[in-house]
Parts: sequence; C-alpha cells; structure tokens
Amino acid sequence: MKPFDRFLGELDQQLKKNQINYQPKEIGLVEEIKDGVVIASGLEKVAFSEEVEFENGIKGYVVDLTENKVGIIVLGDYLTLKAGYQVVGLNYTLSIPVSNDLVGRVVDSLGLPQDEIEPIKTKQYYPVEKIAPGVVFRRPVNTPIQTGIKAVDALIPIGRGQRELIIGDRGTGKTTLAVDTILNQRDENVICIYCGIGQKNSKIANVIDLLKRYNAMRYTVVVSASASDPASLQFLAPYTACAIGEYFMKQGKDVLVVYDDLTKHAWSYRQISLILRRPAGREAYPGDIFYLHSRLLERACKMDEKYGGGSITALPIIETLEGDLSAYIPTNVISITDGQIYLEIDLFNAGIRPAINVGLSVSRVGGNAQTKAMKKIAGKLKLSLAQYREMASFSQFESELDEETRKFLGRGARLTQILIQKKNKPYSLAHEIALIFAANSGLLDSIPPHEISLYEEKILDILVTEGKEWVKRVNKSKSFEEKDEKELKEFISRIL
Amino acid sequence: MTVQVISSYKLDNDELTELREKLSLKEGDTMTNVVDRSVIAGMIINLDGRVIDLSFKTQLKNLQKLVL
Repeated sequence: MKPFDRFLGELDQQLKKNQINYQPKEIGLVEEIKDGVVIASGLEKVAFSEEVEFENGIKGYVVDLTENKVGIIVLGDYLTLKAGYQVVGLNYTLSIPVSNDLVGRVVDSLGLPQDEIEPIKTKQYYPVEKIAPGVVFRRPVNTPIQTGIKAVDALIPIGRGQRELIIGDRGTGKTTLAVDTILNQRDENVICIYCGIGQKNSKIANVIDLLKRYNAMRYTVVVSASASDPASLQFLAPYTACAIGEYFMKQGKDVLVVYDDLTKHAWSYRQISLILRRPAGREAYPGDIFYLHSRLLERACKMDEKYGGGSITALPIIETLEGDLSAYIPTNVISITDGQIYLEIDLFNAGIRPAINVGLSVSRVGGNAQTKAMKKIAGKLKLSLAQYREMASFSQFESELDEETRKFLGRGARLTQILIQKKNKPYSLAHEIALIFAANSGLLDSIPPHEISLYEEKILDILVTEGKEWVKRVNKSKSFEEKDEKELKEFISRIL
Repeated sequence: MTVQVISSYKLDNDELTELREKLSLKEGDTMTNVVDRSVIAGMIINLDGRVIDLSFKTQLKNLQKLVL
C-alpha cells in the first residue's frame, strides 16, 4: 500500500473518531498583552491554575483572577498573540506528561522533548502544582545519598529525602558540586533530575555533554528553561522537575533533584508579579516569594514504606552577591532547607576546591544519614578541623608556638589538603574512608602539607592494585571494622 | 441569561423556538441571532460567555490541526 493511501486511511479513521463536541467551552478575549502576560476578559468560570489555549494553539496558565479580567501567563512566544484573540479554558490544572521514557531525555518546562530524538510516549499526566505529602505519609531520613565528595560525605552528610542548599557566589563551584553528586549515583539506582532555570544555553549544553561523557544520562532527566525562554517557562521549570520526581517517587524509587538555580527562579517570578501589578515588597519581590520556594521544597520528602518508600532529595542552588548570606532570598531558602553547603570565593581562590566553608556549612540530618563506617571516621575529623580553625589565626607565629598547638595546626593543614578534590571525580565510600583515615590517624603527619595530594594519588593507586578486595568489602558492608583498619594501615605503611 | 446564536443564514421563528426549548431557556432570557457566512454551516451558541461550537468552520480547523 502506498504511503499516501495509508495516510488517507489513517485520516479517515481519525475523522470517524472525531465527534462533534457538545460540551460548552469557556471562551474569553485577549484584551491586553504585556511581556509574557495576557489580560483577558470573559472566562468567567475559569479556575486558578487552569490551563488555557489561545486561538493560535499557544497554551497559557491562569494566575490572576480579578473582578472582570483574568491574568494569564503565556507558556510560549507571546509576540505571536494579537489583541482580540480567543482564549479557551481547557478545564484542567496545568499538568505535564510523565513516563519512564523521560530518563535520558532533555525536556522543557512543559515536558516537551528538546533533544530532537523521538517524541516521548506517555499515558500519565502529573499536575505541576501539588500539595506536599502530609506528616502521616513521611518517615525520618535514614539512608545516605553519597555525593562522592569527601568534605560533604564526612562533615555535611546528605540523606535521601533531605533538602540541602548549595549556596555561594558566582564561580565557586555550586553546579560542579551538584553535577558531581549526579555522577556518583551511577551504581546507586537513584533517578537524577537536573533542572536548569535561566541558565546560559552553553552551560546547559556543557552539563549535558558532561553527563553523556560519564554515562550518567541513562539515569538522568534534564529539565531546561534557559535564559532565552520566557519568564513563565522559567517560573514553571522547577515545579515540572518536581512533578517528574514525584512520578518516580510514587514507584518507590529514590530521586535526586538539582534546582540550578533558585535565584533566577525568584527573578522570573518577580518579573511576572510586577507585570501583573501585584504589590511589590522588599527588593521588589512579591509578598509570596517565600511560598514560591517553600511549596517547591516541601515536596521533597522520604515516604513511609506503606506509601512506596520512595524519596526525593532536593539540592537547590542559590547564588549570593558578595557573599551576603543575609540577603532576602538566601535567608528565605536557608530557613526552608535542612542545611546548607556554603562555598566561599576566598577558599576557591586559595586552591581549596571544593571551596566548602566547613564552619558555616551544616546538615541538619547529620549522622542519621551516614554509613557506620563514615560516622566512625568523621567524628574525629570534625573535631580536628574545629580545633584547627580556632588556632588558624595563630598559624603565622608557627615558630613561637608550643608543640601541642603546632601539632594541631599541622594536622589541620593536612586534613584541609586531603579534603581537596578534583572536579568530576567523585570517590566511592571506601576511597573516602581510606583517605580521611590516613590523614586523621596521624599516618601522614610526616609529609609536608603541599605533598599530601601526591600521597593521595599513591594511596588510591595501591588500593587499585593491591587493595581491590578491601575496597569491595568496605563498599559492600559500609562498615569499618578492626581488621579493615589494620589492613588499611598496612597498605599505607607500604607507600610511606 | 443572554444567548447569542451565530449561524450562516437567518433562522426563522420555528427554528428559534425549537432552540429555546432545547436549551431550556426561561421567559426572561433573550436570544439574538447573528448571521455570519464564515461559519459555513452549523451554528455557534454563546451562553453568557460559555460557547457551544457546532460550526463547520471549527470542524475544518480541527481537521487542519490534525493533518499538519
């Protein structure tokens, strides 16, 4: 059968199926078009959060219901709309298509594929806005999510179901930290979702390329609303990412969502609110800017076994200006999340990368989200680093200090060096434990601090050649017993 | 309730009364008939903002969306 005949046959079938719709449609008219926002008249029975469609097929989202008019944000190019166009209410809340085929794809804020491979087949639609699960449905966070970054896994451990904020100035390594966490989930059966909000297209392309190179796209979904996308799509992108996460969480899976970044998300919402002439508050943000982020982050949780046992771990990213943690948006999000990882530009420039300020960073879940092995090692590490920080200001007087202080300073300097890590190289649990134990137990005290990275390489090498069994054992059991300690000490002594 | 019926030719009184019955309109409700050749066939009934679109023009538009 010729393709054209087949096409006619399909068309015939479709026509037979197409019934005349006797349901009345809610129709309004476009009165005003502002940047990305349309004010329409009519539409008297339309609901808040309902999806609407314009005459030329572009979709809209109802955000404002006033006495005679309806405020609609345009989910597409508003420049193609004309005054007088008809708007039809579609009678359902804005939802995105979800399916297991989303994994490995790049989608926009409406769930439509952007990577020019085949279209995504879906049967289910998840609402973009949803009320977070209540207290009854949750249980406390108790499983760690390994980031593969020594400083984080030891001192600021993140659990599955936690919200941990990554906050710092531009260029301090926030995205790198989040992407490294995604890279480390390769053997962990965790679905990762990277949501880029208002980012440069080149940056998103770099991230996707990185994920492809390390074979991470087979468990990652990328939701992208770049800087050239309308503010409405940038506003919706994180909610879309969360909805996709909830789809996988419902199946009992663990999900990791990275929101990069929420500062630009707040800007896009501010733009929409100002155009809608909503009253402006501090820094011209609307009054519900806190609710914007709180309703998003509260949807990250650890579900009880009865309801699937899945979880969503959220890693929101906030960009500060000049290190100001007490600005409006940073303080808002800090109060919502279960802890923050604070990246400092001074540490970054001094070569300490990841530039984590261990003193100001905190994880409010802490030890509950650590493996037994790491808990053992990390306790001493925290104490040593705290002592080092206290005495750091005396380090310039090194020659005039007593033996005890000099020892603390030396140990602290070596620990700081051992926590330095190359980007895109997450470590497995066993490697992290080996390195931190080596530095904290005093075995590396004889080595000058600037050579620590060299010995780090040597330890990793010997673990690859002779310590394979040890690595496998510790990674599997996730505990650090006496015999593991003895064997490790023996390996390290061989390279010293 | 104000009802506006847009049809491609002028509807006579019998047709209008039948419509009034079908739509269960009451005494006070007004019904106006607007002639618009562009609907080609069928009619569009506008009930105070809620629209029942039974025009051939829309069917053609839907077909166009399907094909393209």
